[in-house]
Amino acid sequence: MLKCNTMLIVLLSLGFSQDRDRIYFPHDFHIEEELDCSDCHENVEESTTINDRELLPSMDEVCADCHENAVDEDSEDSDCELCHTKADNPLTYLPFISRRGPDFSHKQHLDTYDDCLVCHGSIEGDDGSEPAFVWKENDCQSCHSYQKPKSHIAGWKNEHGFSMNNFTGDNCALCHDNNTCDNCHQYQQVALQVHNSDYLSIHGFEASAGVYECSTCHSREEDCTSCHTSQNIMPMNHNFPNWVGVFLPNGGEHGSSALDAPDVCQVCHEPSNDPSCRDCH
Amino acid sequence: MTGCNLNKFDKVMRYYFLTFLVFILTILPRTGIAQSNLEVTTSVFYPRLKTFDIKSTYLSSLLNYHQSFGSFKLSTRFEYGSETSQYINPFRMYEFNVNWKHHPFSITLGRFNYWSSYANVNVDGFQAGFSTKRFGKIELIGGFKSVLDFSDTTYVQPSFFSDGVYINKILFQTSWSFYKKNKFINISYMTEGGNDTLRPLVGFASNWKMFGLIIHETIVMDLDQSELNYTRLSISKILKSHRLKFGVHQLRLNGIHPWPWVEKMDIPVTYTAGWAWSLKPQMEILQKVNFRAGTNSTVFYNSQLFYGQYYVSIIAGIRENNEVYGGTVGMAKKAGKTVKFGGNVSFNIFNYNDIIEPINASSVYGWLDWNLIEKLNIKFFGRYIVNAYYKKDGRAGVIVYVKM
Repeated sequence: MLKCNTMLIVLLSLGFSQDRDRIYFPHDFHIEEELDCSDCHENVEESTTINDRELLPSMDEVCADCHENAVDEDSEDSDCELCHTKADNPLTYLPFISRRGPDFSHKQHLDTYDDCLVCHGSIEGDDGSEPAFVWKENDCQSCHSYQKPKSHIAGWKNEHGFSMNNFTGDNCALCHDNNTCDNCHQYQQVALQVHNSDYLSIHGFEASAGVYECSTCHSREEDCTSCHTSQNIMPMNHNFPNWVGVFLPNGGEHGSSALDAPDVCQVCHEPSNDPSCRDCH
Repeated sequence: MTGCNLNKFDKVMRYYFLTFLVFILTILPRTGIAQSNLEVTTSVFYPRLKTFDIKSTYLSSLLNYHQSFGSFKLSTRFEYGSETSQYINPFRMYEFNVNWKHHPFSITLGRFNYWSSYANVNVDGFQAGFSTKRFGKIELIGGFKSVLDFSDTTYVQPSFFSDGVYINKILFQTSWSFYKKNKFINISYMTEGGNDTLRPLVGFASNWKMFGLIIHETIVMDLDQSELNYTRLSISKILKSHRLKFGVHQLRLNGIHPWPWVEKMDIPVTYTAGWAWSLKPQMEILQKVNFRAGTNSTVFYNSQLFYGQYYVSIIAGIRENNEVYGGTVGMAKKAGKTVKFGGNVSFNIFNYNDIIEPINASSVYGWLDWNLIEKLNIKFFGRYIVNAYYKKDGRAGVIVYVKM
C-alpha cells in the first residue's frame, strides 16, 4: 500500500514538474521591428478587466498576420517550433494566463500613463528565452505604496467616511487591510486621531442628529458609561427647568427627546427599571 | 499612576506577553526568513480633569507586530498600560491571529477585527473564506465577541461561562459576496447573542452603478421578530469634480448595541445630504446636512474647506430650543525633513434661547512629531479644553514610536 502511494506521489510529482509548452516570444525583436504593443494586444486600450481573454493575442488572427505560413497546419512551411517551446507535446500548453489577484483595468491605467512600460518594463530586453513575467499582487505596490488614487486629495483623511461606498470600482484592499482602519479607529486614542479637540462639547448634539453612527466604533458599554454613569455627567438639557416636571406640558421636554433619540437616553437609563423613569411613570 | 490590581490571571498573561515579546524581538527578525513589520509605541500622558480632581499619570505601551511566513501571516496588537475608565485590566489584546492564504482559500484563527456593512467587531474565533472571480466569495465566521481587556473573566463576571455571558457573546456569520466591476452584492446569515438569547439575522448589502448613479444599500432583518433591524441607503453622483450624495439610514436596536439592558427601540430616520467639490488637487470643499426626523427634529450642518494641510470646519445645529454654532481651524505642516507639527483650535457656542445664558466651549490641540533617526519617532502632544462639563481640562504627553 505504502509503495503504491509512493509511486503515485512520484508520478504526480513528475507530471507536475515536467516543463510545459509555452510561447517563445522575443519582445525585444518585435519592438526592434517597430511594432506597437497594440498591434498584437489589440483591445488592451479598451480593456477594463483582467478577465478579458483578448488581452493575449490569438494565434490565428494576430500571429498569422505576419507568420501566415508558420501557423497554417496545412502549409508545407508550417513551423510550430517557431513559437512553441514544446511543440511535440502541445497538451501541456496552458491556454490562459492566471487570473488570480485583484482586478485590473488596462484602460484606466493607460488613460493615466499612456505607457505600457510603466508596469511592463521588463519586456525591454526580453528575448523570449525565459518564461513570461508573471504579475504578482505585490508588484502593484511598487506604484500604489506611494502613488495615491485621485480621490486621496487634501482632506481625504477627514472626509473619507463621506466618500466610502461612492466608488464601486474602488479596491481599498489593494493597499489597505483592516489594520489601516484600526490604526485610527480602534485604539485608545491617547493622541487624538479621529475627532476634533471639541468633540466632548458637541458629541451629544451630533449623536442626536445621527451625524455619525457612533456604535460602529463605540460598541462597548464602557465607552458611554465611563463618563455618563460612573462619573454621573448628565447632558446639559437635564439641568434646564423645562426638562422634567409634573406641572409642565407633557411632563417637560424629556418625553419628546426620548421619542426622537431613544438611543441617546438609553446610554444611561434602563426604561423598565430605572428609578428616574419609574418614580413618575 | 493609578493602581493596577494584578491577580494570578494578569501575572500569567504578563508572563506570556513578555515571553512573546522577547521571542519576536530577538529571534524572528534575525532569521531573515520572513517579512516582518514591528511597531512599538510607548506613551505617557498626564490628565487633569478639574471636575473630578483627577491628577494621574497614564502609561501605555502598544505593540503592533506582523510577520509573514510564506502563505502564513501572524498579526498581533497588544497593549499594556494603566487602568483607564474604559479598561480596568492592564493587559489588552486587540488582535492576535494567524492567517493562511492560498488562493482560493483563506483561514484566520485567533482574535481578529472584522469590518463589514453590518458590523465592526472584534472576534475570538475563526474566519474561513473561499473566493473565486467567477463564483464570488463564500465566508464563514464563528466565535465570541472579544473582551479586549479580559475583564469579563477576571473582574466583572465570576466566570465567563455563567449567567448566559457566553451566549451574549456568540457570533456566527456565513455570507456570499460577489464583486464585479461596478457591482457588489453580499448576502449574509448571522446568528448573534444578546439579551441571553441567540438571534438569527439575515443581511443584504449591495453597491452598484446604474444610470450614472452609484447606489449603496444595506438591510438587516431580524428573523425572530420578522422585522427590519437596520437599513441604510445612499445614492451618489459624480459630476466631474463634484460628488453629490444623498443617504437615509435607520436603526432598530434589538440586541446589537452597547447597552445590554435595552431589548428594543426604534430610532427615527436620519437623512443625509452632502456635496463635495474638488477645486484643485490640494483644495476641496465639503458640505453636509444631517436631518433626524422626529417630534423635535434635529438638523446639523457641517461645512469644511481643505487647502493643502490646512482646514476650516464650521458647524451649526438646531433642535427645538437648543442651538449650537461653532468652528474648528486645523493644520499640519512639515518643518524640514524630520519635524512635522499640527493641531486644531475649536470654539463653539451653545444657545438655549431663553432657558439659560449661552454657553461657550473652546479647545486647543497641538502635536509635534520628530523623526529622530530613521526608525524612531517621538511625538509630543497636548490638549486643553474649557467647557461646561470639565470646566478646565488639560492633558499632555509624549509617544515614542519605533518601527523595525
